[in-house]
Amino acid sequence: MDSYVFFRVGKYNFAIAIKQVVEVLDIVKTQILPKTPQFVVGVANFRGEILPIIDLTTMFKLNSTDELDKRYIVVLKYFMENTESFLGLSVDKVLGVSEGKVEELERLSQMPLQQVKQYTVSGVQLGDDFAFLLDIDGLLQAIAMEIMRYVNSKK
Amino acid sequence: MNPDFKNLFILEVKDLLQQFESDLIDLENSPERQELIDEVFRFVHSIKGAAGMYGFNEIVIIVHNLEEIFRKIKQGNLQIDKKIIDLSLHAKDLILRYLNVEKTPNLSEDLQNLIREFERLNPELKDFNKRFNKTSENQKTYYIIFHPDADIYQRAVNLTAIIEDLEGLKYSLVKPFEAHKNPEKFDIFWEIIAYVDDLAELDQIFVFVQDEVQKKILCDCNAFELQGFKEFYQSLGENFSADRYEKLRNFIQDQLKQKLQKQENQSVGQSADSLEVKEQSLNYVRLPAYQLDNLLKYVSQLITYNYQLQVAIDKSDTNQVKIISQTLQTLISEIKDYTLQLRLLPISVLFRSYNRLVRDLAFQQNKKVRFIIEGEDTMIDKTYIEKLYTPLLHIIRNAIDHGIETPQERIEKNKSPVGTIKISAYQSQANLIIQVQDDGRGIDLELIRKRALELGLLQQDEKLTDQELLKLIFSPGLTTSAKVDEISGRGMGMTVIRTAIGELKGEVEVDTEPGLSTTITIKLPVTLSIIETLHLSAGGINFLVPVFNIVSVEKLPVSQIQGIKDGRIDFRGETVPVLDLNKFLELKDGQQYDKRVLVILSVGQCKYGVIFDNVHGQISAVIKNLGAVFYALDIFIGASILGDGRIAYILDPFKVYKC
Repeated sequence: MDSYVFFRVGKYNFAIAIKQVVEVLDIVKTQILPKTPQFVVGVANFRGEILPIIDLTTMFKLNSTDELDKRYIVVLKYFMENTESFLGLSVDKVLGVSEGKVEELERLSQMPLQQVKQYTVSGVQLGDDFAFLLDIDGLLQAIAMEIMRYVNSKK
Repeated sequence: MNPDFKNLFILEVKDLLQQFESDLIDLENSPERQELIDEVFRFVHSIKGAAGMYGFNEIVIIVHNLEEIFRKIKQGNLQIDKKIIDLSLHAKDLILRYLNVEKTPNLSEDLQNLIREFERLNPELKDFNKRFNKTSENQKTYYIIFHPDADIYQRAVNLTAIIEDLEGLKYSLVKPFEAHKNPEKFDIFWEIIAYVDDLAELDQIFVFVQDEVQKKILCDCNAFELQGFKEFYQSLGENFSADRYEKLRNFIQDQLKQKLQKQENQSVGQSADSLEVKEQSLNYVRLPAYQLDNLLKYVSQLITYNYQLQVAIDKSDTNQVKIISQTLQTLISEIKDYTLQLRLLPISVLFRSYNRLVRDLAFQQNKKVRFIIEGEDTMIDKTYIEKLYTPLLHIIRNAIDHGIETPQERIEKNKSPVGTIKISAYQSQANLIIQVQDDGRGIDLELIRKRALELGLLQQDEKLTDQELLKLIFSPGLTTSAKVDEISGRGMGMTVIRTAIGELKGEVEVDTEPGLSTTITIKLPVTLSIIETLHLSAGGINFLVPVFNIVSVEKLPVSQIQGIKDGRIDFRGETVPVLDLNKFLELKDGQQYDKRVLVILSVGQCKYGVIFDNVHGQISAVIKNLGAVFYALDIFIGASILGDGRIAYILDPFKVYKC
């Protein structure tokens, strides 16, 4: 069984394979990145590297359930277009790391969330509950598409 | 002498030679520029002393000759013309050859010819050069029979001293033979083979016995340096015979021939292009001292933090360990970036090496070409410099050969008789762009079509757009040149270019306006690079703008900025568009300013203004990309981290506003 990082966005649980996660940060100081959609929180200085941060709550059009004064950043490292980059995902709460078994959503008797359908095809059992497993490549492509659409609309 | 010093000297001279070459070419175009003549003197003085110290006597001769020629020019007694520039460039080539190899074929012959030409320009040089000629032209190996008369002792000649002197020569073989087997009569003669710089040396030894000496020349060389010479001599045996001279002579001739052949074979491989010389020198990087000081500063910080870490671990202070470990990580990442920066060189190193090529090729083809370099401060990884040399060489050759027309042809077309080739480099988002543009005849699309049909790359009824047709010129074998010559036109050039750029994960594009121009654009990925920028701010956010594109920076009262009509402003008699960055990027800032900053940017032919809130100063910025998902956000080349840890966005002047 593989290990996953589990976190909460709105009232839903999500999971990302741990091999794609660099680390989890507490809230960091960000600076806005002009000309980007609302879900782009901004950029942060992550040990001398540029870390752009995406708010998954906004991106997934969900509402944070509790009045959270604190958010967590899940830092990913990814390769695209021959370059290595970092991306931070801002989430409501990180639940922890544990092993899990991947199942088809139907077998978990769950319907995929409409907003995240294109990058969640499976789920991971999490105790009595379960989490949507994020397909990172699909998520990154969706983010890139959204940004491109936004930039072009502003031209 | 420490060989490292000698190597350093060689490297330094190679750098100086490159500068010297481009100075000479500039001088040819604008002979009135006195400061360039001063540069020549500076060049001569920088290498003359050291060249002598490291035993490069020929180089001393060459630079001395150059110095005297340019002294006459400075005094107004000689005019700069093509001949002088040709000779000086030739002198530069010879210096390079003397630096590189011990001896290449015809080297001393070339040197003699050069010196003779210099003497023709300035006869006063003859005296100086004669002193040097003594050491080169009179080098000969002699075959001597010394047969003293029987009365030699009665004449009070010290025979022992003569033989000892001969044996004491640096290069000599002395062998006695008995002439007659008559023990009652003294009759011995000596066979002597000797190599001397100067015949006077031998004459001095034989001064009292001149009539008893027979001299023959074996060769105009030092036979003792030939392989197996002494062994061959020994193999001639102990008995004298008259054909010993002939045998020795034949042996020497054979050896010389073989040696020359070997050298020629070697030189075919290396002199084909002076590229090899370049690559050798590029294996070293010379750094400004402050960069090493900075590295040292980083290292001492590492040592301090490491010590603090040890203390915290000893105290089992987990919190402190965490803090220090984070600081260390930041520091290490800074050191990584900094170290990578050390590999970067200004692209001028590469661009300037084509100066000479353009000049020589243009002369060869009776064309007039002005060579313009732009953006030569763009920093580029040194491995790129090596790999770009050949593809750019092909592109520039093509431009001269196929692009630029002859002066008559250009005049008929209402163009300036002097053609222009412009090579430029600049940084765009995550890309390094190199462009070669010529204002020649452009590419004949119909001709490409015809050749492509001939080669079967195209079907008769196939319809292609101009862009698609242009792409065909990268196909092997396709050339639009009517004649194939030694310079270019074998149809392989463009294929070579595309392959080489492809290896660097780059792209090549061709653009042409038939009859007017051809532009070749090379786009290379840049993983790490550094860019000279101006640090500005707007709406509380930091921005960096490449210095290369900045025309002017001006602080203006806010009232004047509010008065700008229709987003246009007068700048040096030109009306240019202006955009307010705060509005353009939808930045919010509560702060009020009395004055704001107008920066005029230039991109190609187009100029425009951008208004910022404040200007802070010039920064060398390490470009960091925002990540591939932000690819569409092309108004930023990337971002950079300022000294205090804040982030600044690097604006791409090519994308912020499009004229």
